[in-house]
Amino acid sequence: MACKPQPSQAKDHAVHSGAVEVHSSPEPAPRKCEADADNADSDDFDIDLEYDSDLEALLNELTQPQQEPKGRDANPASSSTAVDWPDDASSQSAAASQRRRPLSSQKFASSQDPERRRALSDRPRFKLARPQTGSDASGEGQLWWQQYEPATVAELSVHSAKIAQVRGWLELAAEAAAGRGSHGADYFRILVVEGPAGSCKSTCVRVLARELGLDILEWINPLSGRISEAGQLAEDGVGVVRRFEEFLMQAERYSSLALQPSTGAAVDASPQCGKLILVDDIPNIGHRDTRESFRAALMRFIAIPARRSFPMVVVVTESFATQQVLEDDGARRAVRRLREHDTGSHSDISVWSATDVLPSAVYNSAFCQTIRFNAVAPTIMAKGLRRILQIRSGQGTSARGAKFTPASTAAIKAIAEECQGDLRLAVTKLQLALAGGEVAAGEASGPAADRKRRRRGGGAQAVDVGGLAAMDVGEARRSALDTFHALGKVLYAKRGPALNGSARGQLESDPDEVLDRLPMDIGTFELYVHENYPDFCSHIGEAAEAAGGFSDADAVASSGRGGAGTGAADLYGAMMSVRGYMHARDRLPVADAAGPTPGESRRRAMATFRKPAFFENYRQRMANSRLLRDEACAGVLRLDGLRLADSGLVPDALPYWARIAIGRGTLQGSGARLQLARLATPGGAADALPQRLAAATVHGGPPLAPPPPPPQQQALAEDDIQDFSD
Amino acid sequence: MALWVEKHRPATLDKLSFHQGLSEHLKKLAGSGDLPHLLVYGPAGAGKRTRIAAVLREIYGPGAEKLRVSQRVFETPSRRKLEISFISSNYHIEVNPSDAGIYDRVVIQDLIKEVAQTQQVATTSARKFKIVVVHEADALSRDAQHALRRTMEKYMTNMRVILCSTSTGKIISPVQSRCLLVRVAAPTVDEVVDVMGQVAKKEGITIPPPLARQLAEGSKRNLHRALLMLEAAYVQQYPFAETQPVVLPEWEAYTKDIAAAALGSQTPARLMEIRKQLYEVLAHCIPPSMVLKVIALHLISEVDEALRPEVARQAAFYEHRLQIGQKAIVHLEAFIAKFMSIYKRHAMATD
Repeated sequence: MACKPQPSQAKDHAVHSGAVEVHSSPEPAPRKCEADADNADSDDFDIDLEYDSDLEALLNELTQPQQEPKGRDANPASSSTAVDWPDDASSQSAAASQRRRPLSSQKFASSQDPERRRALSDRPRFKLARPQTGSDASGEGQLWWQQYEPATVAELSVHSAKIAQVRGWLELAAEAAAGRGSHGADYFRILVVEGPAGSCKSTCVRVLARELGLDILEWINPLSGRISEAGQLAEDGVGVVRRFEEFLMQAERYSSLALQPSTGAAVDASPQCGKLILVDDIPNIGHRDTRESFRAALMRFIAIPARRSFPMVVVVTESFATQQVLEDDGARRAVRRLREHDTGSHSDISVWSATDVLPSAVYNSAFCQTIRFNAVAPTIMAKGLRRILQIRSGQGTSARGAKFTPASTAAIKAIAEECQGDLRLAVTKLQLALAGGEVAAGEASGPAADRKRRRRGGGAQAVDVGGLAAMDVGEARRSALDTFHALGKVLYAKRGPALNGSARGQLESDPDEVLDRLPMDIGTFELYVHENYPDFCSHIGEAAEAAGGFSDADAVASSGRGGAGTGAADLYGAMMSVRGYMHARDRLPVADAAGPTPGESRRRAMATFRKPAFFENYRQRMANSRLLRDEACAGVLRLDGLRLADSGLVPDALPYWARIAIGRGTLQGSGARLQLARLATPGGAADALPQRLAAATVHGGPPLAPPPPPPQQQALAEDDIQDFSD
Repeated sequence: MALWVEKHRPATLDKLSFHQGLSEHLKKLAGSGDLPHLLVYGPAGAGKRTRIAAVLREIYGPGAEKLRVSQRVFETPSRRKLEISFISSNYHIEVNPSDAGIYDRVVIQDLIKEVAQTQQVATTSARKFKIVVVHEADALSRDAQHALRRTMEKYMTNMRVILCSTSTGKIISPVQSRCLLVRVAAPTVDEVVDVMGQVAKKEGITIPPPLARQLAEGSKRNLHRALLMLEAAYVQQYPFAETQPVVLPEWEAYTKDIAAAALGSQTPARLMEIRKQLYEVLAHCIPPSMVLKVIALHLISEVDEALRPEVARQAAFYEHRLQIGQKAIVHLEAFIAKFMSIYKRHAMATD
């Protein structure tokens, strides 16, 4: 709708679109842009200015609170930006339909009012909340996902049930904030919208808020550059969070007024309406101190009663490290725990999910609800892509009967499927496919844009998107392999028919290519292959050769650790192991080699892949060594003289310590030989010592008389103890 | 109720029951008024620590036995905090820098500097130097050893270092040359039996000589372990029976089972089973090279004589791999797989 390009204007202004991009950037930029605006004599920039003036007007109102309602009423349109609205009737109507979107609707207004723009250009500027909205109408310099952002619910590429959920929440929360909520509505304080990138989370919230007449107060992280430029100390994350807290509190205090621009808050002010606090841009909580204070701020926020504040929507984009997504739950926990170990590091949170962002006290409280967005389904995504193409071809969104040539439809489908649910990525790919280098460079020359439009325009019924059909489909296929696919390629190591009398054919899949397209890091992939290779070996000779390859690979990879060549060493290591295995596999046994015996039939059935036991084992070992260390300090070493933990003691002495300690029944009389025990066991756990020692046995020595697959440690430990006490 | 091994630990050089010649030398050294840096080396359970403690006592008197444990926080260059515990008396300080991992250099330097810069507190002390005992010196990184070498020279006036390690192989030669090397050999089986007899006498128990010999042999001439075994046996069953089984550590038995499994059948499926067992042992903090050693020795004792050199060669090769590599399981498994392959080929050839 409003996003529809205005052809006549667009062509003229396309030249300056590059400047618009610059312009949307941080604080230092405005001065430059001002110059640009004057030189270029363009209309593209006044949007900002007007917007700024709006902010300024609001600031004036802030300083004179009594006059505020009056000033508002004086505006011809109810939107605060109406100051700058021209009298043009068509624009007016556009404005009416776009009441909640003053920024985008200014596209119409601004371009027709150069006089005013010049007058305003000297005014001080404020940071824009949504820089991309200030742009020329043609949108040639914009990315399409910004330009064609859905304006109505119908255009959203979200499942309708999800939309209904979000809408329901917003309605209830708004009522609660307005003080007329039903019983229990007071609990609608924070909504967490969680989902992968590009799943229309923020857009959905924005569109719905607009539909429900809620103004959005959005938190934007201030840029740290400004203060350091002024010669002061650079802002740290804590400072940002302090401002965030102020922002939350101010939202309450000045409930019907705008916020100071310094907080970075953008205001969509309209006094009659409710408001919504939107936190899309979460402060850098990878830093521990920042995280703590961010959480504290949220805690204080939910302590404010609902009717004295506004509901808050927190948009959390999940980003997992690839490897963690692919492993199942247990393994992910393991990795995370390994990280926790490393308490010294600043970035000990690597998995971003709502639970990482919000304090659990908030997340689990009644005040916080969660709606999860899934990745956009390919069909819905294709629909969204078609909508954009329709707009571009001039058919308008309403043209339901728009047809696409089969080639275009196929191309759209390919894009939709390739992007794995990231709509933003899909739209960008579409744009790239159609516009090529122009967009990537951020500049579109006027004549080129002209030609394009002419070529594509004309209201052809069947839209043939030429660029799309010609799109390199092979490019799309080069994306990452699925885990199982990659594993299968390596583990099955299929070969073509043997040629020219060679013993066997060429490998069907090139190991280098597999390594190139891994969905996880190389080390983890090696572990996967290592975990599963014995199942694919037909006899021990093969397995031995492959195992040797893995050993070589680890030695090589370890040698590069810590040096500059780490990356290369890892890669060589992986090549050695993967190639070593693929080469070893199915190699016909040399004459004297041990061939398969009748018992070892080839395993050609569908194999199950296991995930590496390595991580779990590592975790266990760490836990046990910690326990041992504790035990060593607490009880055992007290008995065995004062000594520092010594690596040799575990295998040699621990089994006997445990035996003696348990056999003697009690250790209480062991004499307070120095205060070692007291030092190491806070709370004076002297009574618990036997149990602790028993625990040490559990973890310290493998079970007595072990059957080949060792059963539960705990159960065996019980047996152990009975044995000793006999 | 301290363990016997602790309770009956000889406190002075005179009371040490074996390596008399060494004790004489140490006594002379301690009495001479000055002491060089010492590097005490020898296998586990040979009495290194006991001798070091006795030397300290010889130098400083009973005051050196009043020990306390304390923790100290060191900060690494990357601002990571490390908490290291150490044992100290008024006269000396004992530290095991392998606790500090790759940051052992920081610990060594800071600690020695600190000790060296504080004067002896006790004015009654016979000596003006303090002593730093570094356990597991062979685990020190190269960096730390170089740092040590410098500090050893610099603070010679009021500080001495006693390094304690199982072998001199991993100690860099500049450090070795600054120390007096003291070798403490493992006691012979007879000596172990003798010490066990003394302990039994003090405890008022009798031990049948065959059992004593069995225990001594089972301990592999590790006196510390032998005494623990004796006590464990006593706890389990007393009066002793002559045929009482000598209990070996569970992990050893378990590891030997792994070797037996490798001998039993040689298929990839068996390799998978063995991998699980290896993981199990590793999870219990048994050092991988020890696992490899137990398996290899067992295999060597079981296989045909013609295969033994090859098995030993593979064991040595993968031992080296364990040292340079990071994923122990990979190398242990490769060793097993190699062995199984060799063994099977040999078996088929001889059929």
